[in-house]
Amino acid sequence: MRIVSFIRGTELGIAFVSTYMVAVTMLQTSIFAQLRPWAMMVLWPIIAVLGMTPDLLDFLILTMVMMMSFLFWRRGDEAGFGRLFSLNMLLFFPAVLDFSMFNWVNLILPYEPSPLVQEYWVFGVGLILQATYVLLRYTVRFRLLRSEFEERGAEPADVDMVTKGQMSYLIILTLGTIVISIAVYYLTPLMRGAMSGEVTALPYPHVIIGIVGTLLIAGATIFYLRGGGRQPQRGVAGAGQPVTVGPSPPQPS
Amino acid sequence: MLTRDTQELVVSGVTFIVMGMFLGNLIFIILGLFPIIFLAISIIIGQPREVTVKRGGDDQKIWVDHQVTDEVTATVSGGVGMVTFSDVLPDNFKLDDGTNFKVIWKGARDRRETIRYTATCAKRGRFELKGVSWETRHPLQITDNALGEYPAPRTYIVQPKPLFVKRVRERKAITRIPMPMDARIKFGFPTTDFLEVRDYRPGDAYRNINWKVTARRLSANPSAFQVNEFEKEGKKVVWIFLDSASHMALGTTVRNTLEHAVRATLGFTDFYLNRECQVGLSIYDYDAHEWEGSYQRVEVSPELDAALSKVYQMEKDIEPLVPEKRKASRAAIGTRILFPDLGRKQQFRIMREMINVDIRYGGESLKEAIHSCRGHIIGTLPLFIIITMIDASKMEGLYEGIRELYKYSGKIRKKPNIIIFNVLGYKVAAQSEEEGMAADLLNFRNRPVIESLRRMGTTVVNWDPMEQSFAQALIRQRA
Repeated sequence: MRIVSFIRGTELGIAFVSTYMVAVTMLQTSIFAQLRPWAMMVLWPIIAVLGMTPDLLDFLILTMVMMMSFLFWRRGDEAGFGRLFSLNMLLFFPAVLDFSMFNWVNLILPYEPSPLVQEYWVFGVGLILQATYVLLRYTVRFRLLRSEFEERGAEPADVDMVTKGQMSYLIILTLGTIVISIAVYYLTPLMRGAMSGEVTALPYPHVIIGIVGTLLIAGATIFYLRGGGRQPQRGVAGAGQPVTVGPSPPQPS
Repeated sequence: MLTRDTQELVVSGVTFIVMGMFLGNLIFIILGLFPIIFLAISIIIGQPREVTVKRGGDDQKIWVDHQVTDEVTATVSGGVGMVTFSDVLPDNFKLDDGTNFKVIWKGARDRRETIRYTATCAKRGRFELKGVSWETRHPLQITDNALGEYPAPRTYIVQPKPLFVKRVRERKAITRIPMPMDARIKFGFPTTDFLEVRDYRPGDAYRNINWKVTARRLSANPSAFQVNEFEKEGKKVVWIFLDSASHMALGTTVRNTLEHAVRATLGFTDFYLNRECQVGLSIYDYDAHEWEGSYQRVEVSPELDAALSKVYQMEKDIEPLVPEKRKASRAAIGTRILFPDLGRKQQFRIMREMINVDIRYGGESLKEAIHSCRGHIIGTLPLFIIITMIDASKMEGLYEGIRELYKYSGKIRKKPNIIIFNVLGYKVAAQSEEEGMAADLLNFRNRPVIESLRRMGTTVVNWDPMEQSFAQALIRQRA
């Protein structure tokens, strides 16, 4: 099996799984339960033309989003996968609202969360979405990198080996991140109990503390990444040879 | 530096966290941490950090159009990611087999990879490879690529192939290409330069017998005594003047007029050195026809404006005639002369010079070049060979040079001792049939000039390197 076909197949599987999971979750949210009559009204002409019963509204919506997912995958570029991610997040948002502490929706219309899925289910779907986001984001780059190496005259077998390595690395890294995220998710309630006393004693509202904490996280992340990008190259070039950092060099003759 | 891609991931993560705080939603906050954790792990692992390169084999000396084989081994350690390394070949090298560029995947373990390639050297010269370029990349390209060059020097000396003149087998094919005037002297004083070991002939001095070689050969089978032969000293002198003007670049980079002229030079060198002649070489510039002596700075005329400023002017003001700017003296390029000598040493010296010769290699005009080596011409009756491409529009330099040669050689017994070896460069440059016809027309335009050169007593040899061998060109001159 060709490596490019394998990558595209993987992309298709990931796109379908994530869209299906998020669509199924959305269909079980409180907001969708309230919007169902509106959806029925909008989609009625299609239901009537297809000769479907109103019970199959969910199936129709599921089919539509899966088709959209397929079309975005078919484009195969970064913009297509960006739209896929936007679609998934749009479908995911109602599910998250069901588990929020602040019911902002209730300010607009009467809304009382009564989800049919559990919180861990929603969190799991969220992880799938994030994993989809990073996986698709980098598989596109892997394909572009293959083209670059081939144009520079690399052996096809070497390029295949590089792509396999990259795919393995990406999958392992994503799985590792999922494991750590799950650990953080389950450890947070435990830490909350330990830290709530300390945080409550602070003379500032929790919103300010949250914003400051977020900015600190963002700043620290960027600082950390910048440092990581300039790791010294130990003895790379032997006796005091300069090491330059920059774009790719011109192709050799 | 952070790439744009990385910044997008960080921004998306922070957005999730802010939204989570806004909604009071732990799921969003944890999902916001996802890309940050993802990036952090990938940075910790990092990209490959150490690349060392080792080149196998030794420096090589080869002929033009011959192949070189090289082997480069790279060892990569630290981090995970892609590594490329390339042994960048000089422009005139053609990769025949293997590859000089390799991309490898560096996993958790150290990786060693070897590349081998065979390349053809299409042009003479000295080529030095300084190092092997490498590049390491993060698997996800989160950080910038690291570039570098590991020192792994290699030198290739690509020698031009001489055009050997084979032994004439047919009476009809005897050429009238002359030997130097002093070539009648068959015996000279032996020098200390060793030539070869040969069989003993009656008359050889006993002290010249090489007893070691004789004993070694006699132990194998019966043979004659072996005698050391040394280069003979003689006054048979041949001067070769090679044109390196810009018009010699006609043709492609690899196959141009100069390349053929260089091969002809080596052919003449080989021919005359094998006939115990002393061969000298001078490289000149066909375009540099003005005579500037020995590159003395020409004095600038005194400034008259200051001297005449006090003179009363009766006439109306007229537009001052702007004198044409005097051509600045040409930069003095080092004289390229190899004084006459004989034997293999001289052949080696000329070969070494031919490796380096290039367009505008010599800066002197023909007249200047002759003037520079006049001390070695006076007192001998040398044969002069001028290897050039005759251009009817620029003959001044060549005429001046020939007149200068006559000062030293004269027309003794009306025998020409100047050969102008004319490489038909237009034919070299012609790529199609139409261009070939155009080249014929341009060569036809040179005919009157060639006739005038012959009337001056020179022998003009026209050589079309695309259709004739070197020997054929010389044989055709018998008529």
